[in-house]
Amino acid sequence: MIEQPFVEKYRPRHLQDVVGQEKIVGRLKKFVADSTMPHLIFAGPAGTGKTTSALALVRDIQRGKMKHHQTYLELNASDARGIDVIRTLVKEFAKTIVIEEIPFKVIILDEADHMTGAAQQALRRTMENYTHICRMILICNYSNQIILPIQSRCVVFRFSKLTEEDIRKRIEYVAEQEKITLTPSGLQALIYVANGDLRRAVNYLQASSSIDNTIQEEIVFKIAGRISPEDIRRMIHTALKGKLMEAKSILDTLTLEHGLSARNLLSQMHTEVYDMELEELIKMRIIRILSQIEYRLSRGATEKVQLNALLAKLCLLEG
Amino acid sequence: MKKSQELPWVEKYRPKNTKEMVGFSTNIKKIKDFIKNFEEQQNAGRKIRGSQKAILLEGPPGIGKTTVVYAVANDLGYSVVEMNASDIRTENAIVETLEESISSTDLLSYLMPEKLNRKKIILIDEVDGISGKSDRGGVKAIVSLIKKTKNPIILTCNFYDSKFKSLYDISTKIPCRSLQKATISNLLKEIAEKENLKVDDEIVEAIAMNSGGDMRSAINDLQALSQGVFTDMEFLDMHRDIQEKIFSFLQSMFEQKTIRKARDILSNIDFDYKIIHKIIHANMKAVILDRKDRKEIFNTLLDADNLMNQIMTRMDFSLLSYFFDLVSGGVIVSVTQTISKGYKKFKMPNLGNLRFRFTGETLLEELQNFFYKSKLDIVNQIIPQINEILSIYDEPTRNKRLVQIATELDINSAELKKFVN
Repeated sequence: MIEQPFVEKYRPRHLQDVVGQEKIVGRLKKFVADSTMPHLIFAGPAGTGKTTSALALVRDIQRGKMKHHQTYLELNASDARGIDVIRTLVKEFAKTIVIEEIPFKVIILDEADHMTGAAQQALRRTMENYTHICRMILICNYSNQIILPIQSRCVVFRFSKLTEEDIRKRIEYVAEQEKITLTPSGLQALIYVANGDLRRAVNYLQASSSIDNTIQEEIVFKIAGRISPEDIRRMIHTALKGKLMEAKSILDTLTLEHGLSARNLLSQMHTEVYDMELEELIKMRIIRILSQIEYRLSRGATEKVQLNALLAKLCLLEG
Repeated sequence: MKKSQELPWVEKYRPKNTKEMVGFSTNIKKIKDFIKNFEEQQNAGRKIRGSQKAILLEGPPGIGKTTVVYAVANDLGYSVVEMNASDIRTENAIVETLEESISSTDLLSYLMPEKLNRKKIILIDEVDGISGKSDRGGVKAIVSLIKKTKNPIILTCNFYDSKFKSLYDISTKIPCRSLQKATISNLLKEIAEKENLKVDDEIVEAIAMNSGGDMRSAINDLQALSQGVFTDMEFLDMHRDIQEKIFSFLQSMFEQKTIRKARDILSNIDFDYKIIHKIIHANMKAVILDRKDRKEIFNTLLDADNLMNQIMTRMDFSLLSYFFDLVSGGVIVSVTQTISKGYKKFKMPNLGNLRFRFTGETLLEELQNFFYKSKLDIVNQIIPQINEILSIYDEPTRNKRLVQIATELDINSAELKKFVN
């Protein structure tokens, strides 16, 4: 039997199980208690529980009657939802009366910020004309990518990044359920690579556990395509001291042995720089160098040449 | 559960007739006159002039453009045939749908005899939602519909867009302005009373203020507040005016000492992140006094602008993180000398995305000095008003009035002439 992804298996079903976002969840529960809600916009970074909360809200408010394409409709970026779909499928769904005993149907538009302006325009009157039987939840990363007339029809909830504590608890819970052993350093590594994104943390937990049932730091980093923060910092420090060849040999180990791509390496250097013990001005200079290299790589420059140039530029910094 | 309890207040309190409408007073008369005139002319068997067959209600979201059409129709005993952005509006679809619904009698009217054989108003809502691609030929079809219509046609839109210029040309425009703050707060108080909701006057004022003249969002906010979605304080915090938001963003950013902290502030903003560097750029002179610091920051903003350009043209969002670094940390590390608190009177940048494109920037700026309003407001409110005043007169009195207005506003009349039609 193919194992179900942990993210689906352990996706909270009800509002009370949603991790973090206490304030928002508290208010959503109030909607459930009152059996009513306005149109909503959920905005926030990836893996913070937007889709999960939306589904849990629908499940709780429809009290076990929840059925896809009947009492709720979920469309994400993988579905066609251009202007034509909004005018046909979505509109039809919104205006069909349901026989089930539910307060109203719900349409969840995931990644709504990737809908075209025209498609969003087409939503406007549908939202209004059928409010008595249908409400909408729009999910996006940035609410300002949603056109104003729609924002004017919705209440916006902003989801914040999950805290390390929230992620730690959830990972420990999933590991316990799945009988996976966590080493303290393995857990810390999972939290590090997750960077506030619970979905990522759970995915890496599952991937790591398929290699070894005891979660070790190295496995997590390897699977995440990351290297340990210490190695990165060591490389930056060496380069800053002007020791080009020594830094280059660290770089070679990282790229060749760990098979790390240049852009992956850059993004990790970027994450590390903020908290290194350097002057802020130097940090900023490093970030600007990183952004230049990233820019060139995005235009198709050669990885190896650019990475060596990066180290050389770092060497020149502390003159 | 009671049905009424479930309904959002925006729907529950949507005016059914014009007596219940707030704001709009002069425009209601205009719309009624238009419909009555249409009917009279038609009954008399006269040919109706082009611009008297259709009107275009133009104004920001949430002020009641669609509602007023239904209210007027109700007053005058018409029914409304509506087509909006949620309908397919290609040439064929428009012709078929509208012709069918005009000639047919809907099922409901058999149940309600008083509605049988009602005359019909055609409402083409959200004209700006006509998609260039999916609704090919839509605008053309509406134009020809207007030319041969036997029913009065009302169009609505938020902003003028060149894609429906031909519609703009053959219809009479009725500019609808955003509602006054007092109008909104009065209405909110009325609703609160009907709902037995106790809410501080201060909060009502704040909601009205923050709505920016958008009645719908104001009512939504009031309902959200009543449902405990937000506490009063949170509301005040969340829905601050955009200018205030930007101000407090600049203020807290310049207080930070580390890149990380400055960047964290960025993650909490809820205005368009694409313009942050432009906002800082527009306020540079007032805030940064030291010339060397300024040079550094200009340099940083230049890089940020390049990155944003790359992000938007190639959809390369991996660079976004660096953009955030540059506009936050990059700016603050460049500051070596004490800065002025000049951002207290900060300026909005000229975003260059005004829906109307004008050549006469200077004229706009002069009008700005006179009215103390943003350029967008000048374009959306003041110019239409001038237009309206002038439209009463025929040549050559019109020209005389124009010169008179220009003198009063202390602007060049030839410049002004370019702006008004």
